[in-house]
Amino acid sequence: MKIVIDMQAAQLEAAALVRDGRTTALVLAITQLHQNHEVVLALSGLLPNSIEPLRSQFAGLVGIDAIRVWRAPEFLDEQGQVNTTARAVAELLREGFISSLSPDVVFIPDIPVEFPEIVVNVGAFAKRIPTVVSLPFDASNLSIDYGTKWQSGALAQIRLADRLIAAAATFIGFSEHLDIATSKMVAREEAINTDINAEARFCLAICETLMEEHSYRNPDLEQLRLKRPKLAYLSPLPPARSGISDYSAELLPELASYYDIEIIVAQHDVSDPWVRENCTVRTVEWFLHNSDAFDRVLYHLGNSEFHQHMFPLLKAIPGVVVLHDFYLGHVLAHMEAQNAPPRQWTDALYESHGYEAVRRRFDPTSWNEAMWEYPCSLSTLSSSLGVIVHSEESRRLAERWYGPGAGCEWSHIPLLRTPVAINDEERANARTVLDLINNEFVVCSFGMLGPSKLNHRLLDAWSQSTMAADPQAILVFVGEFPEGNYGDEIRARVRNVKTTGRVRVTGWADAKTYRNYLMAADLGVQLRANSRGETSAAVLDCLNYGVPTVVNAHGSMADLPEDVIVCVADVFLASDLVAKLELLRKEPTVRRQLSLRARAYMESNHEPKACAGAYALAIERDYQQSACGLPELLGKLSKLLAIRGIDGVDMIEISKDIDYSLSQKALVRNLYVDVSAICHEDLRTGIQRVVRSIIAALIQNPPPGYHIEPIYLSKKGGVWHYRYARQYTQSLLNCPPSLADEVVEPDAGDFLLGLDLSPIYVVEAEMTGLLSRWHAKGVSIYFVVYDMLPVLMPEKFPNDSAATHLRWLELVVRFDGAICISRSVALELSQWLSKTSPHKVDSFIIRDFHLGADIAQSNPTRGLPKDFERIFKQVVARPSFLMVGTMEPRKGHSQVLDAFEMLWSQGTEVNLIIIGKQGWNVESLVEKINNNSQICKQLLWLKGVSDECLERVYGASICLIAASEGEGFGLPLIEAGRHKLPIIARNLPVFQEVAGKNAFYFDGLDANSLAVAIHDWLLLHASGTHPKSDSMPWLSWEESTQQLLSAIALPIIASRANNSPVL
Amino acid sequence: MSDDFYRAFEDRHRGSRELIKSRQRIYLPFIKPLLSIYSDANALDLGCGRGEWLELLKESGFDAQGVDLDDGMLAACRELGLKVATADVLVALKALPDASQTVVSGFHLAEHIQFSDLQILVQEALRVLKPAGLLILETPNPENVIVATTTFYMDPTHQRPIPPALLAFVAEFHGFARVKVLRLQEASAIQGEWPSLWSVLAGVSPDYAVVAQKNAPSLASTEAAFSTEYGVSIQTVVSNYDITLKELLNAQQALLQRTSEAQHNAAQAEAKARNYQQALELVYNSSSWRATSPLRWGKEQLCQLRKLEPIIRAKASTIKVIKLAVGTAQTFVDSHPQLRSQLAKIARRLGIYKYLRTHYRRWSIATQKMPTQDDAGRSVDGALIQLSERARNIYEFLTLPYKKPPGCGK
Repeated sequence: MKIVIDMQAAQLEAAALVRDGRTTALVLAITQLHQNHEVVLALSGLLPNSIEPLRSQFAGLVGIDAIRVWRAPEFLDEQGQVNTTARAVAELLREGFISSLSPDVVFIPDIPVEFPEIVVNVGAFAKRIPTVVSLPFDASNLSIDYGTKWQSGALAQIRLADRLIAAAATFIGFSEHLDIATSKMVAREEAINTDINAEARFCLAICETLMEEHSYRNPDLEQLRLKRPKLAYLSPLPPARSGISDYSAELLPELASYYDIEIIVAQHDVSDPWVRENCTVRTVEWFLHNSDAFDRVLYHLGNSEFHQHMFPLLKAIPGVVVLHDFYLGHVLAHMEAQNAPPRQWTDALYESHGYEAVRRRFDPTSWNEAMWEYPCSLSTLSSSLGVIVHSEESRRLAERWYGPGAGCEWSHIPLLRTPVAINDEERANARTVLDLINNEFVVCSFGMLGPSKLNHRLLDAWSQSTMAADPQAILVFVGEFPEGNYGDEIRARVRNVKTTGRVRVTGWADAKTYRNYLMAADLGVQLRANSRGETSAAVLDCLNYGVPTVVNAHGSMADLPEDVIVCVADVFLASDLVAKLELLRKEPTVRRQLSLRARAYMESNHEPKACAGAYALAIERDYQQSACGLPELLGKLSKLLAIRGIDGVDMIEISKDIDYSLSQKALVRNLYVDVSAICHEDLRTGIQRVVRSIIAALIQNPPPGYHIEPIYLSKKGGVWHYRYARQYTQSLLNCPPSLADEVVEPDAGDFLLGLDLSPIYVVEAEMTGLLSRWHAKGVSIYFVVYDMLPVLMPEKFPNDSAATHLRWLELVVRFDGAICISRSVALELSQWLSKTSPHKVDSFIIRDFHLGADIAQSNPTRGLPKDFERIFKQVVARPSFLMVGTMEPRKGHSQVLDAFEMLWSQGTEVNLIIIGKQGWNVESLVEKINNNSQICKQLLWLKGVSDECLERVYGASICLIAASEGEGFGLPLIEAGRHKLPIIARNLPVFQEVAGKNAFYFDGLDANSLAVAIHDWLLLHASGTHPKSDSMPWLSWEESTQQLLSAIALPIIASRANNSPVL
Repeated sequence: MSDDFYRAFEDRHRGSRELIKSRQRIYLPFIKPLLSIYSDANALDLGCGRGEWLELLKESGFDAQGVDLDDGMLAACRELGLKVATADVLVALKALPDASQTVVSGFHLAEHIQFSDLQILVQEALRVLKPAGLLILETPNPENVIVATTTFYMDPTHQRPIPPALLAFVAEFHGFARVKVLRLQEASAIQGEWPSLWSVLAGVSPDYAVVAQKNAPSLASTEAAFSTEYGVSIQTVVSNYDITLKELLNAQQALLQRTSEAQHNAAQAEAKARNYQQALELVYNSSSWRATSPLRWGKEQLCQLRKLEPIIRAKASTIKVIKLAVGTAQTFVDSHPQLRSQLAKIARRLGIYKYLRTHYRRWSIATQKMPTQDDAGRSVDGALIQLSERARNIYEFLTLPYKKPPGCGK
């Protein structure tokens, strides 16, 4: 049972407008009791300040997406005057929102009628949702003033409720004013007043009984026969050469007993006599303009060009979809190739499977595979009112592709087969016609030959069996040879009578020949591999004609009951198949029993009348149960707005509110990744290298059930908002930028990861409340924190950058969590947090991950300076110590230089090589270096060198000095490790974390302590006992991304576990 | 203080190197195709300064050489390992053999030299270029009014501004096969914002370049780059401004018209209401009316007894009059509470109070608009940009004429 609880009374409490907090306590008690139920809390966006407090109160009790927020235009002005138009819009919006959640029952606890900001209306929509209303405890004072229009309006709504809970005393006062049936009134027992848990149980019990009363019951088919609603039937029909057109021709006469059917086709003529006789045939164009004339719409969708007109149509005119093929890649690719409409396939790939699928579609080496591999059906399925499939296999595929529960509401209706009556005389006739002798043992395999039909495996088994040498036994392939190698191979084997025995291939068989073989066969063998969810019609034909049949347990064939079919494993040994063939050859009784049971099974499950009945039930159920909140809301709103003359900007605001409030009902969730800075301009900074690498890894390997969506902050149109970074992402994946950068409207349960560092954008956007609005809606927000340095050592950074960083951090900790690039940064952040906002310490999640270090894909630069050989000679002349990185105050260059001056003055023969360009605020240091007596001798400064040059210097040095006073991570250490270059590092926690025992550490900020450390190290080095960096651990970007994901994904799993599997 | 100033200056300075390089990337589509034609692609940059372009050329795979007179600037180039020479640009150019270069460039050079020297420079460049070779000359764009009147003269060594058409003509005249003007470095306009007068004065691309190509049997490889349009011209900016101004004027015109109509209607309504009130008052106040009161009462009773029809007819016609009047008079009535209560009294007497009240209410509700947003001045287009795809579909549906929604159950 899905209960939607209207939280407006609780919101008033949270906003401190009502004192006691009883309602919140009651709902809390209900959520703790709700084991068998799905509870969804509906919050009004018109009381914005109450949303976050309630979210945190209910965190962990219900899933993050079980708290839903709806929003409407403000209808109260400062004086508390109600704008009636805006109020009417709000009422409709709330009702449409509740409808879209498809609840079994709505519960409005402690209906706060005296507050004008409350929006309550019951049952304004077509689909009546059972509603329970409870009156507040102090409701007796309700009778004080019925004068205001609003209250009488609310009371009118209360009257419409299916159950009204109140204290007995209240009812007495109430019955004077309310003309309410006593059967609807439920008196609250006095004892409950003090026990909130008892009251929760009481309310739940009332909801349950009410729901049972209203639970969906199948309509009476006889009634339906009388009513015969008008049904638009979309399917190819004969003479179109498609299995679905024949299927429809068989189904229609039976379905017509329940519906008044009109046929909508995109073909020029229909040859089926029954259809021509009994149905009006319409064009697609006509249907587009006259869809109002129909009560029901049924689409037959398949993966061939006969269905292409249905895709755009389904978006405009929703209906129930019969999904004959789970995979729709071919028809969509065909449409895209014809550009009618453009981008059909790309869009479907993107919506159903995300960017990796789009990338593969545009990669010339993989687009063909992509066409086979991706079902592309998600967007089609989500615009349907219901789905009918012919096999359980389709549901399994839906689960596999679109996550748990994806196909659980689909109807399964077997393919229909008209039962046939066959007598022995007909059998004998068939044999004569087919040139088969009466006592011959005839084994048939039906259908066009091909690798996926495993004809070669059957030939293997046949030639190993005794039947190959038996002149009384014959194997017949009833079907056409395929073109190409496979056909040639089979042909050659069939010709070789000595090894294969008697084998016949009929070639393309007309309906009559096909039927004759079905009658003549003693045994059928139908094998399959690589099926794609479709039902094998040939197997059903065998069963229908009572042919004892052997199959392998592949795809939908695995679902056949074991007493009507003989089954080998999906991937089987030839010997298994031989054994089954021999057994059936020897045991005529087994064959007879199989034959009888097969026919009985077909009659009870696949008989056309029964199937048509199942169709009617499925269609009626889908139309009753599908959440049609949006279409009905739009219909009612456009009427209202037309009357009240609303247009322009107000209309846009209303559209925004609808989009915000009504969930997209998507099966997959989104992991939005902020790439605001890099997609604006890729400056190739360290952080942007991280962003690029992680985005690529995420897209290649998204967490199951999530779409990766890079997005960016934009101020287009004047107000900050997020847009999909589709153009950027496509260019990153070397695809033509075909998808547009639309505005993002997230859904509850989505995630936002602030991966790119763009503090100024983020801070500015949040000044307009953008991120807070996302969070209130149920989006979990995490940021990657690269370092805390501008906050911890502001003196080493330009003024404004420290201030900006601080403002950004303060913003970050207002949301769900931060993932730091090292444990050390995580520690610094949590220390900072406990100092600045101790109340957030428990709720704010701080985790860490390590960055990747495989630079293979990051395009190393080439080129050596002209005088490189001279430099190189100097590097190798003495033991060389290396410093790598831009020269900045915190990097410790001064201390290192001073230490080396001490060493040089003592006569130590060592080089100091500084690699890196001049950075901010190091002018005096530069002067010191340039004026040093050792410059160009034992002291070298290489600015702006290529990766190639760096590589050479690494190889020629003996040690790296990492003297920085603060880092977020330690990539140069890992780099050194990869070159097996020993390391002397400052004893920073982050260096310890990255390098562990693979480095030699020094303490102290003065020249002497470092000089001593270097001296010591040289002694160790001489004896070969210095710490080696050879086994320095490092991650690939893929591993790094997995760490990042598991840092965020933990709460995802938890929140999912709290949810019912039905998404 | 001075330290801060120095630091700020340094920061900007350091940033500008990257900035300049990133701006110069715009030429890469022009020059890169040349690499596939010539294996040894020589390039000469005249007045190379700190060598950003040289660096970019080198990264792209050109063998680039720079020439400049400012030795201080060249120090930076040498530090980066770039090939440079201290020399006068024309001397250096003249010293080169025929058809030896793939690219000759001069960034912010043309405005520093005499026009006669500029002609020689172009002529010489054509000579030293290989077939399909490119001459790139970048210079401030005097189409930008602020540039032409102010910023150009910030540098006292500048000679005279050169209009794009003039520089393009020089290249054409001296025999370059293909000449293209690229307008550059304009600030990206914020979409949805109205073009301001400032954008007319300063919005045109502040720099431009002439890219000229020497003739060759085939110029196809650079076709794409040459057929792309770059930058913002003065025509674009001015016409944007004019269109906006026109729209504004039209809107204002329409508004004025509606206002005057509304005023007219209000005046009419007021007059009507006053007449109506006066007429009624006249009737009530007339002594004959008072005097005949008992008589009328008796007559009324008689009427009621005999035939009710005339009364009903009279009532109906009164309602008709009021119905007509009420629409236009309402504004007036609303602002005159005394009149309102008086009318109510009269209406009660006439037995149409209830009718009037409900209609008055209904009408008020129907005319009550939504509260206008704070940003009511925002245009519909600006707001539309901010809608998600679905919200846009919803908006489009709502703006359609009312229609039964499809596909919803009964």
